[in-house]
Amino acid sequence: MLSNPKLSLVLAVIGTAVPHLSAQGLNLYLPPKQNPAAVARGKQLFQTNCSFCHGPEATGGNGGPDLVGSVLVNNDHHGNLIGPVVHNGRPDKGMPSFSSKLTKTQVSDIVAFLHQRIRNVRMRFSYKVKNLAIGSAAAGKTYFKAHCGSCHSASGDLKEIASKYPPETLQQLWLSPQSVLPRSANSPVTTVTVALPSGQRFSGKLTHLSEFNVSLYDSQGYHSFPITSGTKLQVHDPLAAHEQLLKQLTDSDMHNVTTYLETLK
Amino acid sequence: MNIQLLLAGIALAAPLYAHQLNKSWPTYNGDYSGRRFSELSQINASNVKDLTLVWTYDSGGVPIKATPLMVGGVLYFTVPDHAWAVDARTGRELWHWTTKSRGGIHIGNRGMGMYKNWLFFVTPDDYLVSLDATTGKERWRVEIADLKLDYFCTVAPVVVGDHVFASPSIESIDNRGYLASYDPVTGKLQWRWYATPKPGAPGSETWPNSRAQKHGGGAVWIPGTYDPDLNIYYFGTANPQPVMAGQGRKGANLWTNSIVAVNPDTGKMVWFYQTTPHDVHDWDASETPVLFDAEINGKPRKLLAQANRNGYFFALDRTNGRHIVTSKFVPNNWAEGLDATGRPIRNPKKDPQPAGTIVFPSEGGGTNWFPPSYDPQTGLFYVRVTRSGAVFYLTDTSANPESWGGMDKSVWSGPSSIEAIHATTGKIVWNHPTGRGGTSGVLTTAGKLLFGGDGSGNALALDPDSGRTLWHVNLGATMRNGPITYELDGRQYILLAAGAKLFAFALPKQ
Repeated sequence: MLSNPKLSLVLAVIGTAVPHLSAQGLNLYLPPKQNPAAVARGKQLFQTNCSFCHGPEATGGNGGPDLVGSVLVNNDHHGNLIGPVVHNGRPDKGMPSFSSKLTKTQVSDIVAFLHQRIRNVRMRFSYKVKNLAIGSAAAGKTYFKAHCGSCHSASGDLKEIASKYPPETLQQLWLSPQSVLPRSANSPVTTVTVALPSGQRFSGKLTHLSEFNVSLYDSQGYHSFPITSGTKLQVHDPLAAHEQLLKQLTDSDMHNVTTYLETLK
Repeated sequence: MNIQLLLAGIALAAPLYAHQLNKSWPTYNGDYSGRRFSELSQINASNVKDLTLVWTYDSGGVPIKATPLMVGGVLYFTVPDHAWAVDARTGRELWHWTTKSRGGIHIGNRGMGMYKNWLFFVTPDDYLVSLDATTGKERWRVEIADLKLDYFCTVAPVVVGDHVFASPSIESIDNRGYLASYDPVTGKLQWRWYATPKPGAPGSETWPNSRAQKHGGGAVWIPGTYDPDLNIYYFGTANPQPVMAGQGRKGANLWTNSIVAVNPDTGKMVWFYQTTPHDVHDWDASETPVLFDAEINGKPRKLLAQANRNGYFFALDRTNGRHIVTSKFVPNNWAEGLDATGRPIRNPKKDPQPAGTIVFPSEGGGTNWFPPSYDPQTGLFYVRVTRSGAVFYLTDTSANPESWGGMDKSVWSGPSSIEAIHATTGKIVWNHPTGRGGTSGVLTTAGKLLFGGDGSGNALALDPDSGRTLWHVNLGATMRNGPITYELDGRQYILLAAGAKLFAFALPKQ
């Protein structure tokens, strides 16, 4: 263990979080967006003509392969590869020709539907959760009063909170405000008191803390100090209670409190 | 310079897999063992405080995640779509290769492999590229995966004999992962080992049907390790697909999330050990499988250890994959215990749920790609770890979900640290807090030093026995690769990367 246990505790409180991935950051390869009207028509045509073998979502069905993961479909460009297969069929694999059943426009609508399917599958950052209010609002209210009531109130700072955030953000927010709120002028401030070996003390807004250095702003301005064996630090993070709560929280506590907070509209 | 020659010049006293790594750094991990332990000791615990900056090199913007090679006085490294040769004495650029990309995920590049005077690396748009090391001129490139199927590449190729190993990564579309071997002369494919079995083949019993099996997963993200005595190549496989929705792939889903041993000449599997059966949290087993020898109950054993993304440390017998020890190295709450073979038993209540479930660690895991180190002088395994938690949601409740089928929302980006784990007992010997964030690898040396980084941009030298800080310098950005060391003209260098810059440190000239 590190020789200074107090410092290790303090270091646990502040720092830069690992940035979370986003579609943009990943530079995902996405097929281009398709014309919605063509996709809608194509979906209908696919259900009627193709879904029996390839499944309603084109991911494989009664003998027909998955088309979303298909090499041919993924490499298709405006129907240049899909078109001939639909037109000629694959007699060796039991797929009939659709040349007499589907017009050229209809085939191109099916192509649009397939490319849109692939696009949707890849856009995981647009996934949505459904109903989070599966717990007991009454139990949530009791838990809230016992564990959150000393800092928060349903008629005060959390008034109409459920109208301000989508459910999954609201759930993340009350579990861990640090993970959601941008560090802005209005966000809760972490403060520090530094006692130097000389006996001098400084208190203010913590700006940086590492194993080697601590810095803060007080009414006089900016101060930065090396941390030596005689330096004493006291850090106060107003959001630390959320981190403590998380360690003892059960999933049913989480569902109950979210269900209760969802009533604050 | 020829790696085969370098490896042939070893002292016979040292086991083959861990030839004495000293003056050069010819592979991603330095040697084949993955230990990242150097015999150099000019820089040591008593003089490390005197380290001074010798040179810096700015590669121009994209963070360096590659571990550079150092062969014949030249450093070779990459970022996505770029490769460089830089004079290891002065930091002067010798050549810079770049290419126009067709796309693919540009999340990072781990570096190069080398054979004779040829370099090998991969690009995000799925090429394995070979350059002439002297000129930086492209010799050839071969496509190793289909970009349109969402494959992309990040791995550093590993060269074993006449084989260049490379593999694609997977993000969204459900496809099979694989490791492939290429001829270093021509780039011709020699074999592929697939991470999911062919329908009907052994392993199929761990999948409900051939559809699920073909949707695959099990990408090979990180360079593996090699034991020349056993002629076995070791690597880890990533998660099954769809990533977080497991209802369409009931079963253990072999050989995803596994440590795998293959014959490098044939690609035939020798053994496997699955670290997370039926993973639904993206906790791949990609992390470096480190090879080391140690005594257990008075008997010398050939071992392998991995600090896994799922929050558990594993040690195995590398001759047969038999389990030695499993231990927790960060808080985790998703397993109900261990089975008879040391595998965590998944608690299904902690699988992603429609209304969410709180899971420790988060998707990023207890550790990740950052290379660990094993120091034979201390018998300790060193790894950068992160304590974290997230709410995992199941968003696709259909019978046959696709792609991710779920998501996680971070609720705890807790403290990170460098941990020292006793390699045969799994006990945590010391823990050096490094703030939050940071993704550096670890290097140990015979000078009784450990190099790593913290979350504030500091490079650190620690005492490998106690974790006490002996030296630090702020490099202005966090380290995202593994530090290396080499010796030229009788002078030992420590090479660190932070942001897009390289920093070479040494002792002042006498």
